[in-house]
Amino acid sequence: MSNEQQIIDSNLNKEYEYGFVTDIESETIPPGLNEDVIRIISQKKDEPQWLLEWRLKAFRRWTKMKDPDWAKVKYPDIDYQSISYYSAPKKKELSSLDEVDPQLLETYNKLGIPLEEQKMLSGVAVDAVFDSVSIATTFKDELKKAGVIFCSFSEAVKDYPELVQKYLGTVVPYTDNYFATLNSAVFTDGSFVYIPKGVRCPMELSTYFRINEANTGQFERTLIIADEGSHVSYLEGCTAPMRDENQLHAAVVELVAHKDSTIKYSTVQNWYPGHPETGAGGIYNFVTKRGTCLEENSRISWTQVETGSAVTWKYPSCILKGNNSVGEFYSVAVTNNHQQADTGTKMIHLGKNTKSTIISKGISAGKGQQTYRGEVKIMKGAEQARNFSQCDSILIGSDCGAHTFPYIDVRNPTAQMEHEATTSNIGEDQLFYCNQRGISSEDAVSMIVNGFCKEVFKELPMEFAVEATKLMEVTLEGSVG
Amino acid sequence: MNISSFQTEFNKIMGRDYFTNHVKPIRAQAFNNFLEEGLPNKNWEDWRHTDLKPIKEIDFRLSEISDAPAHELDITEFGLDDIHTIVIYNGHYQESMSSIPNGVRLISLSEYGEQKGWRFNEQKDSPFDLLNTAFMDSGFCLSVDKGVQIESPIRILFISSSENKIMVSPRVYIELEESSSVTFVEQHEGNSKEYLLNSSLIMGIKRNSRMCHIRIQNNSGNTFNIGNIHVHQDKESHYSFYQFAYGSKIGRLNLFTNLNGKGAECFLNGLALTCDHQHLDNHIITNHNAPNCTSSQNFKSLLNDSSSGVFNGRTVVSKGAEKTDSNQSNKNILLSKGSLMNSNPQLEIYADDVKCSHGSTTGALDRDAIFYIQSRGIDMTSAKALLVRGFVSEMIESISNKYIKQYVISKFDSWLNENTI
Repeated sequence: MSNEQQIIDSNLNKEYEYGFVTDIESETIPPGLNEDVIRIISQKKDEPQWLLEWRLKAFRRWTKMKDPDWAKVKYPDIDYQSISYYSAPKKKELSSLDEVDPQLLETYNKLGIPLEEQKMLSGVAVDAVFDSVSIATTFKDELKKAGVIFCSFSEAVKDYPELVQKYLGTVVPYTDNYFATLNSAVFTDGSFVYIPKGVRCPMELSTYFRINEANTGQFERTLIIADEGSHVSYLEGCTAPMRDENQLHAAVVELVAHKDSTIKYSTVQNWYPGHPETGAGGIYNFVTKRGTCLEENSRISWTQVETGSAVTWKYPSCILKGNNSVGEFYSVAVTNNHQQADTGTKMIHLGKNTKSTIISKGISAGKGQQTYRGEVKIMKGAEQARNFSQCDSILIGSDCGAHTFPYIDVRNPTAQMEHEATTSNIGEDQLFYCNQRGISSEDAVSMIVNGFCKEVFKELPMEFAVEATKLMEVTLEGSVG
Repeated sequence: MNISSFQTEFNKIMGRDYFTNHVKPIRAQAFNNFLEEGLPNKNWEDWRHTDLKPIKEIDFRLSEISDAPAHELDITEFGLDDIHTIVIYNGHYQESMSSIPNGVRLISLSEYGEQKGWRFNEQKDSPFDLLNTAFMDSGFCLSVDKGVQIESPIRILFISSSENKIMVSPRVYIELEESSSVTFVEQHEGNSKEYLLNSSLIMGIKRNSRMCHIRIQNNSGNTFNIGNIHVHQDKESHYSFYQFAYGSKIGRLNLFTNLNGKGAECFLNGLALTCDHQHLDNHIITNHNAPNCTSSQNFKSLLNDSSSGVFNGRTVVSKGAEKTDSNQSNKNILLSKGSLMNSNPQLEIYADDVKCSHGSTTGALDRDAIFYIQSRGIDMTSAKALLVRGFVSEMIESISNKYIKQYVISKFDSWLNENTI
């Protein structure tokens, strides 16, 4: 094992590769949070009255709420008054990529996701969110032809107010939880997707989020609506520059799936995890993601690869309301050094013959602490509901922890519900087996871990699978050899 | 039972002069600690599925001398009549009906307290343990000397029979010295109206000793049975636990096992049979505090009518408890439309060289299996009974004492006869 230990040690010392700060002038509201700040945000974004009122309702509610403390994560109290709630790069309203700040493009190049290249090579439409305002959207024309609406949230508020008003807050109400309520009050931008009846979205939709401005909380709001018989695959990926102060990210994602529609939502998250030795400076990722299978035969699938952030608090959920609807959750989460993750899913079965699958793979290394927390609820009317959950964890090193807290609540006797979980380390016998066949410990560990995650990776769209592997190399393989 | 009625009863017990004065500060301390948090409610993570409102609504009083039986009882109706039995009737020790096998020592709680210098290692964060300490009665300690193997089982029979609303808080210590062994049966019986039984059993299992603990919970349908069991295991000790619970209105088992010595093992098993509006909650916590320990939790429930069940199992592997091998399993069959099961098998692991797994399933009887049996000429009811029997047999078969096994089978059979499934 000492060889492996050496490899682990050398790799554990690897610094975050994507840490850098782009120097761009931006317009920022001074830190602080009160009703006036919300009015300013709303005014700057030129929002209708109903949205401002909705924000204010959320804010008033939020002031009465308490920071949740049930998750198995530790972080210093957040001073919400020291955060600036609005930041937008000054140059806006660009019609082509040429007008984009060259420094920005440089940033994307460093991340390995050059817009032009992606446009040409992968056919992915990118709605790049730099801090809080979308600055470039590609492939809009092609999408328009298909009738697909894919734009920034603020544009959607201007151009499709009736759609936004109809669906905003229907899946995650502004009263939902502390961070979702905060988001409802102060969200600045995000993405909006509407797929009309019977349309299969011609390409994978993708948004790259990136926190850049120092001391700016990122409050994204994403709303995806798939109308009857439609199909959409949405990709979300993030990397963030290195800095010393903790940053709060409290996003909300709402998915609505109508009859016979499918939404596939994939995330690769690689925000700055904090200083490798002290854990200082990492991102707090407190996200509320939820989808409703509103009508029959709809399907929502969440796939996530969580490699970054200092603290992750995230439970992408499905409400299976329509009969025969399907919810899926595939997750790989890696915690290394001082990272903490409390993540999992909720599957609420309401309709008949609803099915859900949960596959969660956790890898904990260094001083990382990881928790799977999931809830499967089968309500009285969910005849013949079916759930299968599998949550496995691998532990690497004696200072890390892996915890599994499933909550299973079955109220219908015709339902079938199975849950299983295992936690173990990489066996010396497994390593030995590989070694004696001429495979180095490093390759063996990486092979075992890749095999461990395969079930989830195969759910990722092609465009993402490459990036996922790359991110795993930085975070995961860095720690295991 | 609100806080003020607890206070009234507490003042009563502090006024009783037949307890030694040493107990009073211990009681007072525990009661104060209890008052800080009060009775659990559904906002407590560990109690979110068990509603104690029925207990809060009833004012129980302490058991008095008048609640002791007037004349000698016939305990043969509770079965297992050939084994050594310690009888506790409404919290009163019945010496004339009790016997213990050779090699076992029985001392009163006061005597035990003297021996330990009144320094009990009290649980501070468990509200019902605190209540038990505040109100403890019928206390005693059973101990088995070093190297002594007790062949015949010992039973502690708790009879809860009263027309009045009584609360009883038995406190039992069981201590196994090095290389000893014992099989012990904890049986709860009785025909009572509203009744609150809140027992605390604290067991010390020393190096290389073995204990088999069988808990039969058959209280009447209006009883609230709260059982707190704390097991402390030394090196290479062995503890196996079997619970057969089919009584009481609300039953809650808080079982804490602490594997403190290298190579200790504990196997915890439970079968719950519920009907009507019964609610049985099993809260099982296994702490792996030393390396090379093995543990298993294996709990099953059969739920009928509008009954509900909870399995809340947690295995905590502390830092340094390497080579831990642990397994949790919870399987439940919902026999009726109104039944409900909550299952939370949890793993909390802080060491890396471990093998831990858990599994949980909930569902109805397999329709294909029923059809298969029916197609071979067996009627529906018998087919279902056959499947249910298969489901529980693993639990019952694992009891090594034939006599006790027979008794449990007969009890299961009568439950099956009384319930249409």
